[in-house]
Amino acid sequence: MQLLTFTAGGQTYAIEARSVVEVLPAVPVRAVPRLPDYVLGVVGYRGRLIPVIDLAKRLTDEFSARRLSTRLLIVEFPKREPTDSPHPPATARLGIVAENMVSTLRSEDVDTLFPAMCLENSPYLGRILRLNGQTVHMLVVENLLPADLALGLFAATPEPPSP
Amino acid sequence: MNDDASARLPDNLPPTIRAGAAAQPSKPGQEHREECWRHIGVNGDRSCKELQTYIHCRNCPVMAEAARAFFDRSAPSGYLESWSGILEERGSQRDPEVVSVLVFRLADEWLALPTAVLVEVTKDRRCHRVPHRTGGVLEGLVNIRGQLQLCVSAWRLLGIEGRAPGHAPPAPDPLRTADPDLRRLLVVERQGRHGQDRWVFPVDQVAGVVRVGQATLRAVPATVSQSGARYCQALFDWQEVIVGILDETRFLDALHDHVRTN
Repeated sequence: MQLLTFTAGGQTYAIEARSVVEVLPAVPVRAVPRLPDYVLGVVGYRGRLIPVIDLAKRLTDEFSARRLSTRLLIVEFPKREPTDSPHPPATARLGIVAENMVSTLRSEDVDTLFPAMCLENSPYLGRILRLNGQTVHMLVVENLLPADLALGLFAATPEPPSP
Repeated sequence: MNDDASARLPDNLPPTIRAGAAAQPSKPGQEHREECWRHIGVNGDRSCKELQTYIHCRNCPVMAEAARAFFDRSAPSGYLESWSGILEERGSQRDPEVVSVLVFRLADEWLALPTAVLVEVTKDRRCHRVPHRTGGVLEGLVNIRGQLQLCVSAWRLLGIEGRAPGHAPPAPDPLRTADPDLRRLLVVERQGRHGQDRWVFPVDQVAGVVRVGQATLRAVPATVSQSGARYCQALFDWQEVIVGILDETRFLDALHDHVRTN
């Protein structure tokens, strides 16, 4: 398993490379009013608009520093359908801005593994890995947005045109 | 030195980052440590003893650290804005009309197969004949990565071999290299059949993968009497030769029919 690492508030976090669509420069985002402060807005991505969040703001109180190594990560975000929906859950795309997105790790190098925490206020925190002397906290992408916000942000997202 | 700094960047970056990188020379004092690869590394006199461990500077943590430091600064002005445009356009830029094909030569004919059906190109190797079954299109069995695959003769299937006597010799062909060492085996597989329906056939020369726009394709002339033309879906001009793109479905179906019924 390969992990993409980045930092927020000086700590290293990671997600599985499998759920990564693309890593891009942190392009300017169009702000959307009346959203939580960690939702930066929307960005045009291949003919669609996708919501973008700032990971540092979500996890800590500070916005990500604007550097070249601060990048925009596009991930597959499992779309929550209303529970009575007959369709299988579709995926939408979410942009995540995070700092120091410059390297990957292979999890064969895992030294120690702590089980996932179950915290009511931060359900997006997953397992903690110990890799090459650094502590890496896995993120659960689908819990980065509260359910009602995810439903609101992605409700209008059209399905990608089939190739 | 500025030229070197921009030479390290990938070619496909917008011009703004090149300008930004060149405008920011490294701090004095740190230069020797941070750019040791130019003095004692692979771009210098190779005297660094770490090279014995890392073989190349790109594997060395010093260079990894320098790369991290390189990105640890604010973006040059206009750089991020130029990417906004790239992101929005990309979907429409992808051209579905371009097909990617592998061009190869069978005797005098330049042919191509869509890369989607290609599994691998490998060196020519011995084909084991199967008693009472070989001699037609089927040549035998060949060992590909420890698995025996059916080896077939595309010459015979396409009717390229054993042309009628008096056949006009082909025009001089600039791409053609008559070297038996250039013979290769192509491994093809019907799309979506993972490991099933795999065929191997030898070719005289492989020229490479070419991307062809739909607009440059020409129809196969209806008057062509060669039996091989039945399997061609289109022609295109490439480096002074005419290449016929094989219709992979017809080609594989024909292989199937010949080998299973004979």
